[in-house]
Amino acid sequence: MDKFDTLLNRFGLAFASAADEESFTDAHVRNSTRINQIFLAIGAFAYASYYVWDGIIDPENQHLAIMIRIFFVGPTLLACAASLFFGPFMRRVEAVVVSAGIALFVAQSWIYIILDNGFNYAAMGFVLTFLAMATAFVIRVRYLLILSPVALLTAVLGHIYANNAQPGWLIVNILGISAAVMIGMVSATIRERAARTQFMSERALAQSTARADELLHSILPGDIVERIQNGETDISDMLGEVSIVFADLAGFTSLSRRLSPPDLIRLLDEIFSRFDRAAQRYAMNKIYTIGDAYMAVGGMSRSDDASDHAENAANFALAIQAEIQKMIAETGYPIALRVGLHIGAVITGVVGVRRPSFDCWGESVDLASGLEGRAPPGGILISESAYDRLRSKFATSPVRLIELKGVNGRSRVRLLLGPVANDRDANQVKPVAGATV
Amino acid sequence: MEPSSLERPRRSLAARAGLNFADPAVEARFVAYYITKSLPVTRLFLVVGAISYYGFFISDKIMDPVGGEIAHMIRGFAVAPVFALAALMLSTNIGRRYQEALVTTIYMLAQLGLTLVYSVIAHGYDYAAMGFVILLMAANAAFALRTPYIALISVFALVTTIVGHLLADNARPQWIIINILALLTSITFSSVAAYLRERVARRQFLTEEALSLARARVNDLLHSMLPSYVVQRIQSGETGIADSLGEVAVIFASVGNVADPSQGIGEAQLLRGLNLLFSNFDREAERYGIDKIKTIGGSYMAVSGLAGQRVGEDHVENAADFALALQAIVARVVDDTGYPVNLRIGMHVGPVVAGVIGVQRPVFDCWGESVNLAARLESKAPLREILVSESTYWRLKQKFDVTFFADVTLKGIGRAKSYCLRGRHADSAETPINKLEMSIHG
Repeated sequence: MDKFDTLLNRFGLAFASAADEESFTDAHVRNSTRINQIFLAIGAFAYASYYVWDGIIDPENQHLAIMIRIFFVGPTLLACAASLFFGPFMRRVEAVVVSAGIALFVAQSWIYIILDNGFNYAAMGFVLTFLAMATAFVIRVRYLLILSPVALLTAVLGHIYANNAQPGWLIVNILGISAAVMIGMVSATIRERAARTQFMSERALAQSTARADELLHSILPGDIVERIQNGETDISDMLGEVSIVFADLAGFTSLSRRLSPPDLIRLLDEIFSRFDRAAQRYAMNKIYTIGDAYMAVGGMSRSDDASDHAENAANFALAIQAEIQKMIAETGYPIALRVGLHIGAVITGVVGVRRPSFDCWGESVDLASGLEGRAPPGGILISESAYDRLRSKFATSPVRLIELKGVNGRSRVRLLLGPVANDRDANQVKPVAGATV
Repeated sequence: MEPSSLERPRRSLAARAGLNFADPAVEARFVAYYITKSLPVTRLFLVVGAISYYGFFISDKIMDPVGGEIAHMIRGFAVAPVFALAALMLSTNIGRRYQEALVTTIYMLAQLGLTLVYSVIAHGYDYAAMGFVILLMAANAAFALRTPYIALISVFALVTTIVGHLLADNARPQWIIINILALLTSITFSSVAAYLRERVARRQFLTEEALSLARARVNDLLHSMLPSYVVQRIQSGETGIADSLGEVAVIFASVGNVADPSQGIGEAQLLRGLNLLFSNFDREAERYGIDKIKTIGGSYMAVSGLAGQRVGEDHVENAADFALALQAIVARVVDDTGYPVNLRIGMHVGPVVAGVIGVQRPVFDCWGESVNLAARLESKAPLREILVSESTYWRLKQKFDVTFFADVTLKGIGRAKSYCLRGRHADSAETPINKLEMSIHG
């Protein structure tokens, strides 16, 4: 940022960052090309019509003045307007407007040189021209800063060269034009600052809205957010068949004693982000993480009925086990993942009015959690109902009977080993590392 | 008869031009916002205006040294002081409220002053256009007048200029054309400018209102996801929040028998029951300065002592009072409804690591053996009891009724002594203030 920009910045007429300035110019100036174009065209005709005025000041030389108005100013302004249809000029729309302004002031001075006693009346013409430039055209104040001295200089030089006015009128002209320059600058500055504030507020609004949306989506699934926004309260559903996956890091608690808190949290963050990506890949909804445990459910959303949630859940379970294997290889930390998978009925819903949180309840949840608790480190323990849904596509270990917390009697459980290859050759089963009983 | 055509609200001209909000309350807020925002600029330009208006006596004197003397007096004694007076009036409440009317009046006075000035100067109306144009454009640029006021002063400028010209009789008649032409040109430009400015201001007003709502919503959401002290730290730009805390109290409370779908109780009832209990729990947590971490199914996890202690209070004692309050709530529900809902609570005092994982989707949590221990104690707790660890027992035994329960085997931890927390000792029911006084007076 050079000195000029720093100065402008102090008056709120430039953004500190060049990228912001660029996108503001795009939004504010280049999107107003049409307005500038229209005013250039109107200006060409309005300027010509002021020959009436020339006639009142000096009827004898009116015909010379009108030549300037029609054959110099008119074509120049129209050419400037037309040039804005073309890309290279459109990008430099402010420079085009400033060129038109310079032509106007030169013509103005020229006309008053031709008219008898012209510079007795010059102030009015310069004042109107400058104020029109400052109010009608959408250009940044920095470009008006170029036009201001041009207006003053053309008037003063013309006055001195013409020598057709009483000397005192030079002061009147300077006074009048200076007042117009001041007013025009104030008006343009106020307008530009408002536009800049608006630009930043709109951006901040978009960011805040997106952030609020993101936060809401991070605590509640997308279709639940939609239902809340549609005014639904007391959201609860009974879902007949969903896939529930519980995953828990074995060895994490002892690791938590050895790592510094920031390292510990960074590690967990890394693990859970990988799980999140896998969940997204297999259309699983993360319900929550609690400590070092991760719970996800598939088949909740009514929209993605096309894919099989049981298969997705199995693939998700295998994927997060693979992620942990990778993490172990990368870091060498003595951790392992225990996973439980069950398919069954749950109640889902939102608890908490001030602090909404989405959750699942029911025996199936307890059962999935119990499976995770009994799974060997590195293994995926699945229930009988999950096995029934997955047996055709996934390889499992032989059945085992174990007692699960909260379930009467012994349950039939198996380890999920991996997908069966397409040719259904049992030898092609890809075992998951560490998943031995 | 079409009732709808009768009921259709009539939109004013201003509303159709985008210069009025449909809701009168919004319109009132906008006017207040617009006026407040423009106040400093208005005041500044009243002063600048007074000086400039006076300063133009120089140009009067060049036009006519004799008449210029009278014009000088009009500018100096009649008009400029009124500008300054108006600037002072803006410091009063009434002046502020009627800012636009005040400024409009000042403009009209200045315009009348100009018509006088040009009638005392020889051939004044030959040169009058410049003065009228500058005054009108200056009023428009410097004062944030809404479009109706700009329309008012434009008409006023045109009428007074024509009437002044006709009355003055000191200019060639055809010069009235120049004056009207110049004034019409500047009225066109000032109207366009005022219109655009007001539209932008209205859009800006709506954007800023929406922005403060959106910011409040983000803030609410963050506060609903994270403890307040964490929100504050995140908002002050801190990242990677991870604290090692030496002594906090971890509480797990698990609601049993709220409803069970297998027993034919509907999901809506389950949710309503949990909502009722958990919102009561939340209220108690707030009362005792305890941070709820999350609910997991029917379990409620909370931690006391994360953000340091409240003055004059002990976070472990608060946690014990909180646990007792939760049991009291559930007991009251059972009394009121006869429904056999029950609560088991586990509590442990020890070190944890507390922090936030995820930046875009922040989740606050606690880790460490203390968390596991509290959870395991909860699972071993008898119905309607609060099971606490040995370290908790030593912290509480002086003021609370804590009795030995059993040696329990906790999964992943091993054998540990456990105690039941039953209530406060009768003589230790002091308020925090009393406690503070006792410690001060030894």
